[in-house]
Amino acid sequence: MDSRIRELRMEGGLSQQALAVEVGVSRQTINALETGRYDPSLKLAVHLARFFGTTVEEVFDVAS
Amino acid sequence: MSPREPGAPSDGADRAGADDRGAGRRRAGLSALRVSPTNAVFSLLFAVAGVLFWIYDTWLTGLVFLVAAVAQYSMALVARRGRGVSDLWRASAFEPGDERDRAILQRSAALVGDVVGVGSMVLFVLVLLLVPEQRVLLWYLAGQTIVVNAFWGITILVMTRRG
Repeated sequence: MDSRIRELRMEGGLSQQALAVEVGVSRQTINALETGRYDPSLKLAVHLARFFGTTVEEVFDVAS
Repeated sequence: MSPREPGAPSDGADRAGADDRGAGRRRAGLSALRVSPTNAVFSLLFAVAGVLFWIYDTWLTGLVFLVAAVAQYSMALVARRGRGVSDLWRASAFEPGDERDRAILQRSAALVGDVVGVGSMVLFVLVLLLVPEQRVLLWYLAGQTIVVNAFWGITILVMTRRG
């Protein structure tokens, strides 16, 4: 599943580690999400969307 | 749209995985060891086995188990440290740090289950066809196949009821 996590993270000037700490996951998980190797749980998807101040649909491209 | 300021106080309930880690910490007794219940149980079992073997068998066997206990516990403690530890290390040490680690462990365990299930059945058929006179081996493999398939059935039943 494609996502805009990297783009949103860069906009906020955050490192993968900083974002990982903010949402309570490992840096490797953020990397896996950004590279499309891991599809998050609904809970994590919502946490990420809330953190970026947007919706899940804005962060993740579910159609693809 | 902008992310929350890094370092700003974040809502405790806003952290995925924090609930699970908190629940793990609350588990009485084993939590004092500061590792997952799985690692706590394995480390204690190895340590107890080490002491028992040292007393009732040979000191060397006891030492092997004690070293295994220390190794298991040390790996878990390092994995628990979090930052700077790889996902491979955490998964190998049975110390999942988040949902992806848990998913990796669950998928790996499921794959091992598949291999054991299919493997024991294939071995049983091969022994039955090639060396049917090996009765002990045949019964062993038949028993293993039955147990694995029984567990498969029970697991499916429990998981479907849990939803």
